[in-house]
Parts: sequence; C-alpha cells; structure tokens
Amino acid sequence: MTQIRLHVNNQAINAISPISIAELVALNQLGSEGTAIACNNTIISKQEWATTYLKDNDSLDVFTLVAGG
Amino acid sequence: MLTLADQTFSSRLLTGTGKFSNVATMRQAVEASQSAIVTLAMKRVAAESQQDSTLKALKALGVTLLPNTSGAKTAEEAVFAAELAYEAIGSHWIKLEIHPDQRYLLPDPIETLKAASMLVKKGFKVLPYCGADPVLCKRLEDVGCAAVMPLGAPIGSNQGLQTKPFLEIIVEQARIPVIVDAGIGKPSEAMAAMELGVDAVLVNTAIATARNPVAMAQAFASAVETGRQAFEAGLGATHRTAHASSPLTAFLESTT
Repeated sequence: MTQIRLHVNNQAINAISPISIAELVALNQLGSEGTAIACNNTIISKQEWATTYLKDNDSLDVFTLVAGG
Repeated sequence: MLTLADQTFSSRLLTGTGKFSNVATMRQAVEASQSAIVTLAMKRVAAESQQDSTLKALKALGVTLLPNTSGAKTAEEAVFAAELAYEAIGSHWIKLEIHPDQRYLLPDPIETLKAASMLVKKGFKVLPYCGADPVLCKRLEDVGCAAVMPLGAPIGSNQGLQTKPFLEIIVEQARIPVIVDAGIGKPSEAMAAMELGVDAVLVNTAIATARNPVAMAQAFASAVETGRQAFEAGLGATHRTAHASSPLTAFLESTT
C-alpha cells in the first residue's frame, strides 16, 4: 500500500495503490454510462477498467457525452 | 425517409441538444421535432460532479445519437474525440467538426478532410461539418463520408442560408446526402433549404433559444416536411418577365 499521485482531467489527486480504473471511477463517482477514459492518451475500454491498475503520475482523461449541437 | 450509410431515418430534421434551458425542455423539443437523429458533444467530467442527464433522456427517446468532435482543433484530436465517443456509446456515427477559430467557428477544411479520411478507414460513419465549398464536398465524398454538412451561416448565428448559391452547386454535384448544418434561424429558411433539394437540415440554436422551444421544434418539423414535399413536387421555373396565367384576350380594350 503506497500513496500515488494521479492526474484526473488535469487535476492532481492522491490515491492508494493498488487501484484500478474501475475503483477510481467508483470512488470519485465519475459515472460509467456514456463515459470514456483515456490513460496517458490511450483509450481504455470499459472491459479493461477493472484490470487496469494505475501507476504514480498516470494522467487520466475522463469524458462524457453532454448536450451539444 | 432519409437514408444515411444504408440506414433509413423517419425525419429529415436533425436536432442539436445544446443551449436548452433544461433537460426536460430539450427532451420535449426533440420529441416535438420528430427528429430521429440528435447531436451531442464530448466533455471532460469533473470528479464528483453532477452527471449531465442529457444522455439518459435521449436514450429514453430511442433516437440515434450523433456525437460531435467539437473542441478538436486538429485532425488527430478529432479522431481521438471520435474514438472516445465510440467508447462512450458504442456507435460509429460521428459528426466531424474541427473549428479552431472561436469567433466564427468556421470549419478547418484541411484538417476536416484529413480527419474524415482517417475516420472512414477506422470504420466510422462520418458526417463532416464543412464550409459550403462544392470542391471540398466532392473531396469529402471521395474519401467515403456518409454525408456532407455544409454550413448556411456561422454556428448559432441565425443568419439563414447565406451560402445558398453554393449549396445549390453542392446539391447538384453530390452523390451522398447533403445536410445543411449551422446558421438556420427560421423555419422558412429550413424550408428554403429543403426546397432547393438538400436531404436534411440540422437545427439547434433556433429551436433551443426560441421563447417556446417545443412549439418552435414543431414549426421546424412542419417546415422541413413542406419544403421536401415542394422539392419532390418539382418547383416551377422562374422567369425575369411575366408569363400570363390567364388567356390574353383583347375584349377589355375593344371599342367596337
């Protein structure tokens, strides 16, 4: 159990390793319906969220669909 | 019936979901518009933020979701946005839009063509927002886009069909559907676009910012249907001089 620093949508947050993307999503209520996540600019499909563990300094971009023209 | 990439849709009016005062009004307006395709945008979410309920409301309506790549400034960013959208909702439909300039939001033709080509190769059904440039529209058709979406006027400007003469050339030349996107401010303008033979129109601001968006959505639905009916009926020719509709007998002038 070590503390790591993650960058979620350019915002620094602390987390306790090991932590998967699925766990991070649940912990931060990022939602899963209509959500897409990229880790270090690589898109991680939903099926891989539970098995993708995050490392210190990983950068995540979390996107969702919103109203737009 | 509108056909896009071998799929048929019941309406020739596409509706954008931005700028509505609330989700309930947006949902009612989309319903009133009878649109079968609605657009959405991608956005970064803040942790523990209130989830936008737009997606949920639209899924309940059963319409086809058309995510856009708004915010992308380059072809690479647009491809990334399209892949994120695919991951988010599992659909290959994408409204490609790359407009780096914030003041006029005009589409970058070079990046758009480049992105369109890349996205088609990746299996996306690409609907590119583009300038009303007939040559560019042919190039977008050549790389395999499902339709072209030339602008009538800048996004959200409500200026109507400023590009009309060029839209006519695009319609004349295109072998894929033409959808006028952006700038349509009034139902009469949507009707005029349909009368000149475009396959569909996309309306957002004019509906969303109307005093009564639900009634305006209905007005646009009627206008689009009427315009299409007129196009299919075949408009009469225009002439510079008068062409009499009644027999020109001379009895009124007769003095004998």
